[in-house]
Amino acid sequence: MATLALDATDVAKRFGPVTALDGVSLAVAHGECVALVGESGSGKSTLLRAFNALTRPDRGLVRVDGHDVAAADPVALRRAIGYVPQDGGLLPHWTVARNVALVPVLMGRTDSKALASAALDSVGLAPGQFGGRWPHQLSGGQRQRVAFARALAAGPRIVLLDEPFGALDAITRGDIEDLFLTVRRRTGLAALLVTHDLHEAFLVADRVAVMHAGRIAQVDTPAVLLTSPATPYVAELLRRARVVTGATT
Amino acid sequence: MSRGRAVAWGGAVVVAVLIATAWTSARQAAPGDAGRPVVVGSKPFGESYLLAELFAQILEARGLPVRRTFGLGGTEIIFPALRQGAIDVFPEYTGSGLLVILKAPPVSDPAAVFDIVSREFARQYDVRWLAPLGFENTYAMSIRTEMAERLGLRTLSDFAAVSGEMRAGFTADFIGLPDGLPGLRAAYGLAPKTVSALAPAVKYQALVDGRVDIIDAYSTDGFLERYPLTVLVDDRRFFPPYDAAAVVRGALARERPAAVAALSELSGRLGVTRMRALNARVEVNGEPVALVARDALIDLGLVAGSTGAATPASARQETSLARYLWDRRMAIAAMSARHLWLAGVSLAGAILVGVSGGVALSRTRWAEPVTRGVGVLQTVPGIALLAFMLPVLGIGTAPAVAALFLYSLYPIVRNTVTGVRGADRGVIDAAEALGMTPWQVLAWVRVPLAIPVIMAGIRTAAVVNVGTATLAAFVGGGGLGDPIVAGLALADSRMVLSGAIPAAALAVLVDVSLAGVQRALTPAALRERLESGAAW
Repeated sequence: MATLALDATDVAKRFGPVTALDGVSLAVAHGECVALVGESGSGKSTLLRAFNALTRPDRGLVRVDGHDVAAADPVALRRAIGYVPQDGGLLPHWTVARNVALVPVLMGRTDSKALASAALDSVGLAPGQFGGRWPHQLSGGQRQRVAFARALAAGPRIVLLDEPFGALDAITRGDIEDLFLTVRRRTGLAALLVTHDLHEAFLVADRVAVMHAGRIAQVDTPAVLLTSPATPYVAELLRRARVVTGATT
Repeated sequence: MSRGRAVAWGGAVVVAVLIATAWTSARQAAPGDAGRPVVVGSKPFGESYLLAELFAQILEARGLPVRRTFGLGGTEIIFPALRQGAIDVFPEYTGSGLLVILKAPPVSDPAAVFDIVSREFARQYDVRWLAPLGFENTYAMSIRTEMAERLGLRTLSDFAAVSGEMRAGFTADFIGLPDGLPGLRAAYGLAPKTVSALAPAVKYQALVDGRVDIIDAYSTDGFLERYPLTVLVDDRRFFPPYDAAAVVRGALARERPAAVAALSELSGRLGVTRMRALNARVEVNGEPVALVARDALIDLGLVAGSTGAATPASARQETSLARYLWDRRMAIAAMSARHLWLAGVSLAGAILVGVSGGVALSRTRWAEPVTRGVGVLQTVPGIALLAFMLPVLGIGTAPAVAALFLYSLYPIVRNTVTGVRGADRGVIDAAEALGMTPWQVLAWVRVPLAIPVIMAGIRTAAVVNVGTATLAAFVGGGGLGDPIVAGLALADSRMVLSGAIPAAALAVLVDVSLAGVQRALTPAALRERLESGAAW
């Protein structure tokens, strides 16, 4: 049996009185992109962060590429997984080139500069033009491209994205979504993407997991999800998304 | 955070080494040998300077080397300094010895008081009182003569009866000491409408100008005769006798009989009239203490020479402030250098400990309690802090540096903790998620991003430090506090300014240079935001 890229079994997590995850299971195959959708507080970010050990579940098994996260060295694990947060999370006191070279440098790679240049190129930013800039000199879309480049520079096989398109305007957002699709096609990355936008999920993901109150209500391809919602909550979510679509287009 | 803990331990070791070094250097001054100078101390008021200078000059006239440590901050500093052997002799008053040091009940017979203090000081402290100098300097509760006549006030009882309408201006000591306001309140029912704490140098002016109605003058003050003032009669004989005398370390008396013999030559020679005239020359005319003391010794026939009548009596008015400062430029430069040294050493220590400690603490739950504890240190008054450290650090450089170190710590620790904790959550999250170790997050992200805030704390500490370093004068630590303390004691505003102006200039200079350092250390990308005044 081929190992899964990401794999969670019956994972639970409480923060004080709040139950963030209430027995969640999810599998992401190598090369696959799964989107986690749901409202704020549904537990989607908590689940994402369980995979790179930023949160420690109270119960359940979390595996990355077949290895138990609880037993892994978190630092080595995180270096092997790409990560793109909302707003980029670029270090404001480092240049673009240094930000992108971060993970290769952490891994002690001597070719980190070359890797950073290649990564910048791959997201459509000329290294010569952008490498020496400071993050605050970039537009929102450029910052997000740099964040992508940083996540990809060391050539991970898995990338975690936490609302990476959330703070962008519609046009920029479309560009970055295209970029994401291109990169995935080229590299065959496995990706777990948190978003609160169903349209975006349908556009970029192979399968969509709808989260509600710490549980996964349904995981299916967009087509199946649209035709046969498993619960009234999922049906309502789809209905509302359509209403929004109708109003804006 | 074991690395952070290592940093904290490193900081602690550095502090320990600093304290040990300071302690050792303080100790070196202590042990006695025949060739070393006799150390003469004084309290920070005019008559004490003058008497100490008389002690110093008679010792020198008898061939004994002398070191002067004048202006030590009050009984709580000077008496422990004597017991420790940091000084050998200082002028004291029997009444203060009885009430303040022995904390005994008041006795009104002067001979009885002298008997008690000489017996008890010898027994409890191995300190000897030499025979009194010949004058008494008691409290002279003074009011404007105009008011005394208008209201028919002659005695303290008279005044107490109307004191509910009166504004008092007392020295801080007097307000707190048992032989001061608390005692008067008990003995006479004295209850002024308001009580202001006034520096000795300004209280006469405040009284004459009508800003207060009563002050605690001293019976030998030169000012008493210069203004139309009336001294209220102590009709209930509340104030004990305050006979002035030299108090010396027992060890000095045993090992250096020549010094005691020289000092004893002054016993019984200084009458109240002479003393008041001498004080007036110093405090009112502004003549140098050394000159007045020399004239007095010549007048008394204790040293040969002619009195310095040639010196202009009121030198104070005749030269401009600029000229005065220029004439003293070498001394001011030396004091400024000393001042900077005290501030620099203490600030360096505080930066080392404050930044490393703050960084180490910031990631723990101890940050807030410890920072608050350091903040409490800030509220301890300078003299109290110095008095508290005196048993360990003695007087001189060590307690001055230690006190300044402690006063500098809070803004540095507070800003370091705030800066390190205040880093943008999203940035820290990304740094962790991409595989930085906690140490890397601290060293590469949190600390560099906190530099503007940390440097702001260091600059605050530096300016406070340079301003506070004048405190060193109270423990004989030197620096620009010396002319400030002496000038206040001698009511010489130009002398005060000769310390205060350079101290202020140094504070500005230090702040400007540190602004440069801050700019250099701040990561380039943060500079624009810093300079545009963006909040961090």
